[in-house]
Amino acid sequence: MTEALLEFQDVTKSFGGVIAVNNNTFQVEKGKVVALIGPNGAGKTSTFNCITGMYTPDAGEVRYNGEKINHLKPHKIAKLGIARTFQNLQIFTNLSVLENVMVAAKETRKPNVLSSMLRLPGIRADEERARKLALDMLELVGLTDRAQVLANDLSFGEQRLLEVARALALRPKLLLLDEPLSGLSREEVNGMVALIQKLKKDGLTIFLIEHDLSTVMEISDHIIVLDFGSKIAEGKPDEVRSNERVIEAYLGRDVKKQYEVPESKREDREPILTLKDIHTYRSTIHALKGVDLQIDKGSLVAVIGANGAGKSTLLGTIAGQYSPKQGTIFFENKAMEKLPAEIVSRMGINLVPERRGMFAELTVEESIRLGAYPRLDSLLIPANEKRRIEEEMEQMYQLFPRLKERRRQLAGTLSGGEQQMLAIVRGLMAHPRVLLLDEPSLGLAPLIVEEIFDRLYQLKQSDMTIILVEQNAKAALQIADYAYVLENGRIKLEGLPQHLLQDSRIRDAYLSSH
Amino acid sequence: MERIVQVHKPAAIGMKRWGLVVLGVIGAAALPLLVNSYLTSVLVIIGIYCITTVGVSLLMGFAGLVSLAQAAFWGVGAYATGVMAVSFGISPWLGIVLGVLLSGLLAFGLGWITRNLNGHYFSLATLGFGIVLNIVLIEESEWTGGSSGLSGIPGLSFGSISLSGDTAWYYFVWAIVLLCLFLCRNLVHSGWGRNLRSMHASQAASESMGIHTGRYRLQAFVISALFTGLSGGLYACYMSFISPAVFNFDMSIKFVIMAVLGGLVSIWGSLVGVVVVTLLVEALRQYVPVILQDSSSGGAIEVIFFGVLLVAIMVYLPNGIMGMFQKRKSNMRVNAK
Repeated sequence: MTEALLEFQDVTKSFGGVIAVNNNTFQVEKGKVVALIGPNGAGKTSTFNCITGMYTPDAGEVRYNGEKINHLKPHKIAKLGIARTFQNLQIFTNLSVLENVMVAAKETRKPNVLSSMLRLPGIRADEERARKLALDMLELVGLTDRAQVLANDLSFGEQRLLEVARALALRPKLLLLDEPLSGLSREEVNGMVALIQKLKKDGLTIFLIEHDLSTVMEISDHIIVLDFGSKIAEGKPDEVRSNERVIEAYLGRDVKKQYEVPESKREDREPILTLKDIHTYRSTIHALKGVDLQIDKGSLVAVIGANGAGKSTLLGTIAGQYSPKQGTIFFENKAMEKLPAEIVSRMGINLVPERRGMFAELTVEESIRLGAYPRLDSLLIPANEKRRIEEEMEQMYQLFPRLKERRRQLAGTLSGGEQQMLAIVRGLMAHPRVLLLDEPSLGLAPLIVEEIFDRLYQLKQSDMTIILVEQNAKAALQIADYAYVLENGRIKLEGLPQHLLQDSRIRDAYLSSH
Repeated sequence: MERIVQVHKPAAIGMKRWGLVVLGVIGAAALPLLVNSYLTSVLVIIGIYCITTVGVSLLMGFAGLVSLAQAAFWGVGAYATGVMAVSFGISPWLGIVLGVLLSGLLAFGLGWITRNLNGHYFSLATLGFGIVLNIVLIEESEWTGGSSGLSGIPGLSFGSISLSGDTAWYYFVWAIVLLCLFLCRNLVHSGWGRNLRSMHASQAASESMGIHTGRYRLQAFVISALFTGLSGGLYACYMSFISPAVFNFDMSIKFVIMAVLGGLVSIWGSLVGVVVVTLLVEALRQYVPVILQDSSSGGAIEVIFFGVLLVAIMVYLPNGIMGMFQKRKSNMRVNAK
């Protein structure tokens, strides 16, 4: 019997009427890798926040090494040896990679102001020790050669690694990882998994939140499952996998959705959007290097590819956010590559951005109504138009009933999945001719991803044109009519989804186990 | 494009840069011999302002806090020195030290009370403090001389040698400015400065890495008030006359503009901002009456001018003058590749 490093006893935390953590009791044993899984909004990150002192539990006890830590401030808890990473990266973007890690070093945590002003030898020695430690941590995660780069300029995957290096520089006994694999490419996932396994071997206790279940099953000793704030199951990976309640709440019934797949590209369709030799620069990066694309009216086109392939830049270029240096974009035979974003949006090309762009202080209903404004000429809405908006909102609620239940809730308090639904609905309210979706499945639980993709399929059936950018290639290819594979700013492959699904190159790069 | 961050290692400054520094020091030392005494006095005032803006840019650029109470701390330094000298005959040297401490103490109190306020709320609280303090300066006329001001503040002297004349003041004040810049530069490039900047980027992450952000915030606020108090004390002794009108809200804004115009990316930005703003104001004073054929010194014009200037900075130079230079430098590096 190993001893518990972290104990949760009857911990409850609620916000207003919403219970984020509901009377939970569990333990994290020393030296183990423990995973916390559950649908979006299940209270996983809230649980982490109760451990790190960002939230103070309303009731119950959080014990670390047998010591009660409920009422300690975050920095005190960090000093005890609990380090964390963040789901939505919290990199110090104004510091270099090395400096980011140095912040966590104990040696320079509380330097004397006067000695720092005078650069006394003691201060310089501490600084040197912190630098050494930080370099060691960077080496551990494989970012040594990026040490002097501004942290903001790292790729997404590198920033995730940086967060881990920074947390390790605290020399923690307990490491909390909040969705460390989310948004990583397959290759990056493998690197992170190897790192986690190495840390475990070195004796570190790891408690992690993750949606990538196959990886969770592979690396965890113990899994705790949450739903609506309550623990619904825990145990070894195999036990959890076969638990009825877990399957119902999280994985969904194992009924493979059957989507109708097109046999060939339909010839009767006319192109609505055509890109020819598009080159786009983001600051000085040549992000798109001559992209040709043809989108037929009423089709759902998937664009897949790894992080940094240029997928978001592609959507941004179509939406008029970035103006291409070279090439043309035709929208119904009108050149539009020089038009600014607001005009493009009024023409009926609407982008649902990657991070959803919520207005946290508006209610769900207000947010949806806001979506209708781009198509109106004035803010004085005639009565018949008002009625139509109400009718459409009702349709939207039918599409996503969850949103109806939450219509009076502030958008900022929705779970990730609900925010994604709201973002899609908001885009639809503008009556788009072409809907651009950037990573709608990012950071969402499998069941919700399925629900959202189901709706996208429904929209496609109602003859909407959709461009879907996704890392979750498997899911995207299931509902698409046609697909493009983007790599390093170029179209590497294109074709019918069922052909791509069988292509070994695609399978190796994007589909394995995800 | 990746931006390579310069490693802050003062010892690693290249020979070329040292050459520039030496040239700059020689040039600055020769300056009072080349210009008339009016310009020399402007340069003294620039130096005094600089001591304040060093603190302001530490607070704004590195801690991300906008204080609108700097003129009040400046006033505390000035009036503490002035009142003690005039009413109690205390040596202005001691007066300056006490003024600095009093500024710091008030900042500590204000910083403690406002420790949970962020962003605009903090700025508004400091604005309120500034206004209240200005009223105190006007109303406590028994000590402060009220709105007609406090005159007869003695100058400074080293033993029997008194600091008289603009040239002597120039050397004295600028020696202090350089010392302040040196101390502040070391501070922001130390682990302390790094932790402060980390808090500016993400308070949540900073706390989670064991940084007591509240402590850093308070320290930064107190340090900026200490510098500002020193600047105020020197101002009182140099001018020998002070009045509440100088230490009002407009002045707080002016300090903020100086820091922003210079650029918050570097401590040197505060120096650049003060020079540019002060010279512009002096030019305004000289030429506005000529253009408008008005005998007034152009007070209203000055307000309009600063409004326009602030808008222009925000639109065209969000990183200030120093930021512009840094950008050009990094662009050149990219082109050279």
